[in-house]
Amino acid sequence: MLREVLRSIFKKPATSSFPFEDHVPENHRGKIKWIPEKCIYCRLCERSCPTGACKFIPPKKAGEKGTIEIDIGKCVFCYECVLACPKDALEGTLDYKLAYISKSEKADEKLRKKN
Amino acid sequence: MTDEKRDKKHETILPIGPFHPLLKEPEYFKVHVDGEKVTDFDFRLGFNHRGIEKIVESKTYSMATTLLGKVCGICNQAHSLAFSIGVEKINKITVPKRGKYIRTITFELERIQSHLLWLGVMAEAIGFETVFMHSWRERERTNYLFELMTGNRIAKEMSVVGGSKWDLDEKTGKKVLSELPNLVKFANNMERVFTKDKLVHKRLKEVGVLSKEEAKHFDVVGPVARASSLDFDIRKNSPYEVYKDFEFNVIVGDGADCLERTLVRIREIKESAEIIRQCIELLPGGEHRLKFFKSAEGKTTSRVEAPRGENAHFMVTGEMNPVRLKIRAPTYANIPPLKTMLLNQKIADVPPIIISIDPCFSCTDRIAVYKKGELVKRV
Repeated sequence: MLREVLRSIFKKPATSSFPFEDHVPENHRGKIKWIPEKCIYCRLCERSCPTGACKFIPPKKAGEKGTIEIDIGKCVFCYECVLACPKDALEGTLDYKLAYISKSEKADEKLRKKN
Repeated sequence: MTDEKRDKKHETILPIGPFHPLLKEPEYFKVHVDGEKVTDFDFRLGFNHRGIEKIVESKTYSMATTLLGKVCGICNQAHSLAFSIGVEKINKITVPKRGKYIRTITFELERIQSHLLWLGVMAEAIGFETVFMHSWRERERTNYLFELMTGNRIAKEMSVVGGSKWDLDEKTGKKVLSELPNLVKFANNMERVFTKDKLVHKRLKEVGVLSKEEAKHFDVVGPVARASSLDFDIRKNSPYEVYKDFEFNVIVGDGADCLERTLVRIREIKESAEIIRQCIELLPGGEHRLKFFKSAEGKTTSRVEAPRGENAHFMVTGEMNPVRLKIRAPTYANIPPLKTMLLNQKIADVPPIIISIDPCFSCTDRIAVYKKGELVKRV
């Protein structure tokens, strides 16, 4: 035990200095991105989501196709929707800094800009 | 014993929980003490009931494995693996061998992670905070490997019905192999500390003794049983997955006290590392996951050896979702013998004894009994 303690004096710290360094592995499961150009609106992602975070929002006007939204508050990052998508219209990103002040992302961006 | 009789004997009730610095999760232990001695012990479960068994009934099979990973934070794969094995058994699916191997790698790494976490908690309970810091530092290695392999540090979600959710590339496999010697080295170091350190012996030796006969009587499972010289391990006794392919020993100790339980877990880290090494070396090619949508109707029980002991799932399956699921978590079997372990011990020994069974209460709390709309009891 003493040897370990003495050795630790000259060691680098085991922790990383977070805001300056970022250790994110390549296949880290972060925020899920939706690519509307590839989407065929089969809604398999909505059906495979265990928490109900992935939802199809119907179009408001005629002629539009609607959107697929992923509620980050409900998402558990299981990536079932990404695996279920037949056209790779849902993609995983490495973005993990997802703490927001308010529930809607747009309102939060406004708050950030103010500060 | 009635309360009046207790008053005559100068007994005091020492409540531990539901919220107590000793416990990481809410649970109530009622310890009766006479001076420094423990004279009686009682417990109440059910503070952590979340109704997962009921929610599973409304989920499809791919959703259910994700949800069952949330039963326990530390040994989350044990539950999703037990469930997937059960559903595969009912449907007679031949799972690709690669999928089975990958599941086993993360499952064994999870055992290492769980034991290292437990070692830290145990060391903190006896006031040995250096070991707490060191073991949690080593645990960080396993968590980093999980992130490399599955993309998440804790919620791995590797086991799904029909194989493993994620594939393992060669680079990650080599990374896992290169980290294993560090973990084994740490386990060797800890084994030396816990066998030779006099202060550790004074805190743990002959504390919370559970003899072989008593262990058999209470049907204890996992490292607690193996420390009481019961040679029982599901991986050897009724092999599931691909454990038949590997050479490994079941660690059995005969000390039957808290120290032996610690040593058994430390030695198990080395055995798990050995299994992972064989797994990566023998890793076959091909597919890792079969697509699975609809299940046949049937019922079965599946068992896996979780880090804390035997984890059993009983299930009745329907076409799209399970009709009934019953989870018997390992801690449930290990709580009753606490009374035998605690009797005639000192108050200061209560924390290490409770922690020595590696309690995980969120796994354990399952059933709530209602009668005419009123809660009767929680089991």
